[in-house]
Amino acid sequence: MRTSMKLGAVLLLAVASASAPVSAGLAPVMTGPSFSSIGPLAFGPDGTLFAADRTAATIVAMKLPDVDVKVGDPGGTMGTSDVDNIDAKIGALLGTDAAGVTITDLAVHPTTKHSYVSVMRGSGPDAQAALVRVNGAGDLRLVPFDDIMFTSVSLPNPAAVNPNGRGGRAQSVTDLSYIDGRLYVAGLSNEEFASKLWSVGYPFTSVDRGASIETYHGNHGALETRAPVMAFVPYRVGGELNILAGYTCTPLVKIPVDSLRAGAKVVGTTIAEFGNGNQPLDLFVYTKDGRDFLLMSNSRRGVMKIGTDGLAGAEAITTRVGGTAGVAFETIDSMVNIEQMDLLDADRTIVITRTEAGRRLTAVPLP
Amino acid sequence: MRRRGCAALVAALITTAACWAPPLVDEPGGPFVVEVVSPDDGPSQIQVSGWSSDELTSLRRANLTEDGWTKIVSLHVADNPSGIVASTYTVHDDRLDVTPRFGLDPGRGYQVKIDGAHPPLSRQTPVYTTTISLPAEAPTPPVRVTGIYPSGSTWPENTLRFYLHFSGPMSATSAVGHVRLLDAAGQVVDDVLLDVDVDLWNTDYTRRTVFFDPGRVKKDIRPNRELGRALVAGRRYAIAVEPAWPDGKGRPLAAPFRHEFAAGRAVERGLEPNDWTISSPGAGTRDPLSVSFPWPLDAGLLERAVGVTTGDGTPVDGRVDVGANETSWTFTPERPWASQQYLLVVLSVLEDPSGNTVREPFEFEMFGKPKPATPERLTYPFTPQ
Repeated sequence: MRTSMKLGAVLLLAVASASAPVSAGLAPVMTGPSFSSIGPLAFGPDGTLFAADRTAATIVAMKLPDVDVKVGDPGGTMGTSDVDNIDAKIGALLGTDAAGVTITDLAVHPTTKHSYVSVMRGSGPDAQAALVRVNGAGDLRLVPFDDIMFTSVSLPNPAAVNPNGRGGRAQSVTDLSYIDGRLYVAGLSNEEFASKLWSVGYPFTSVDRGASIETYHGNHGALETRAPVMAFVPYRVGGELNILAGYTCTPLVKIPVDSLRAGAKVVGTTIAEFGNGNQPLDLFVYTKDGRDFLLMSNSRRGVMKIGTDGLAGAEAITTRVGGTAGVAFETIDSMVNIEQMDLLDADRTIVITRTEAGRRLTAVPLP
Repeated sequence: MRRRGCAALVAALITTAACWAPPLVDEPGGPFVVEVVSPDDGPSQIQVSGWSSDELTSLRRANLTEDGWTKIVSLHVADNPSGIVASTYTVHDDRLDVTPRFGLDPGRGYQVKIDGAHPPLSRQTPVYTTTISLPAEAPTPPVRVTGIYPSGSTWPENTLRFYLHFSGPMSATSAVGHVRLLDAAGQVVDDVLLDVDVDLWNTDYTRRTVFFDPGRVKKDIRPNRELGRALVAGRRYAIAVEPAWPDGKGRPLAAPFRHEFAAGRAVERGLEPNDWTISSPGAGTRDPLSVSFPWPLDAGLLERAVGVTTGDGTPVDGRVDVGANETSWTFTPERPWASQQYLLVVLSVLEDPSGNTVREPFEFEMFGKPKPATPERLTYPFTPQ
């Protein structure tokens, strides 16, 4: 016999479970990473290449072969030269055409200044991951995973109570960046809407290997928002290390790294709003004429140059305010249709632009 | 045993059997024979035979890099000859295998170039070129949209997210440009969906998550102030999926898809499980435990954020079904219910389609009041009678 009742009428056991241990798993140093998917990318200062495998919810740290980091190596010269139709050329390298490849990220090696492009060959569940290097002669070379030494760390498992559920949750990684011995990872789930930032010690040897953090940022409406971080960069503001994060609906938010603790709900500071209908794509810091600037590429609002001088004085928004506040920015009219962007050297950024003739890898003077 | 039954093309060229004795290779080879094989248990390969034993010995001893190999045997995409296909090379006793690192696309033409004159070889013949291909795949029905969640005919005007389900794997491409919101007149409502370059598919690419732009859903932030919410209560809309959205094989969808609905009042409060209704099953039966909700919840999260354990927290195996309009949830155990206490477990990550979570509305006035501490896991005991 069934009985019907209101749940509130039964004894309520609202158990505040102890924070579940972070389920990130460590893998030992091995050779030949096997990617289910690849991108985004980030380099550490010693040339370690971090790559997100979204399908496997894993971050892989790769020691690229020596041949790739020596000056004058057999593979070509330092730097990166422009490549027209880079999507078609990558397609040819991988045995298909331009339409058969998807470029997922672009990152510049800190020493050789070669550009590394993460690529998915094919589409859907059968797609294959690839890494391609572009050198100073503009030559494209596949970087085979076979002989690469790597370690990896799994992102925390999603909460689940039903072991047989037919859910389809996947954890996308929107950006990652390394600084001061830690790797920071931002992600977006295809189910729950939550802003997630993970902080993971590197080398991946520490038991304290990261935490899932919900980040809240006060917006001008003073409402909690759980929008995902789309692009970010670690940066010291007034001597304090911060994550400068570009969110959906394009606010720029400052989050003190010291506040990022496991399980913490962090209140960030909205320091600028850049307009609606737009998503940040890539973000980095550069120095010009003795001043630091942020350069942020966007899906629909071009590339924005933001001076960092005013960041230290940006106060946390603790009351509802009207209008648009925030640091000033300049839109760089000459930089359009940019899909991928990274800092190439002291004077230039490297970008992949979408043109009528195909995608183009180009070095562009820093604005 | 290697299967060669899938070979698509055998190409041969009669080369000159000259009497001239090359300096490195004493025995001249015969005509090259190029064959493509696609074993079921391994990657596609191009097998090149026609070498003399001396030539194969020379190739083996040369210890060539991949760059070095491409000077002798190179593979190119026939209609995209802007590079050499990355491959590995293996010398056997009677042939050379070229294995493209990423396989060969069925039906696509590939050009094989062999330079028998390049050291350590020394044939006095021109570069041999042939084109090979694997058979095109047998056509399968194109993918179609099989459902949309929320499945109901009324969506709250602050709806944040919906899911599109497909009959087969789709490409990894974004929904933007392929999924549109139409108003009652059939006109496209612009700038309403979140345009993110992020893979929001499930792992087998049969379910796509689409977000409304949260900047318009949330009250009082700039996009909302300037444009308002995408949905306005009382008006009728449709979600339209354009057939041009490529499936996993790059083909358009079998048909367009359209889901019509009316926008209802916003849901701006947290989920409160105390307000849910539970129908407890009978002991000794496999009757489902049934829970109903006052308004629709998120179809995806209902699959994993609600479940049943025994009193000591051990998960109970069973099948979850989400009811019509996502207003009910049932759990059918694999084994009959015992006369003991079980726990209905609700994780606080559970959301409704508007992003409201357990006891926490999507929009929360953060300043001036403390944020409520919601446990990550709520449990509600029930005992089958």
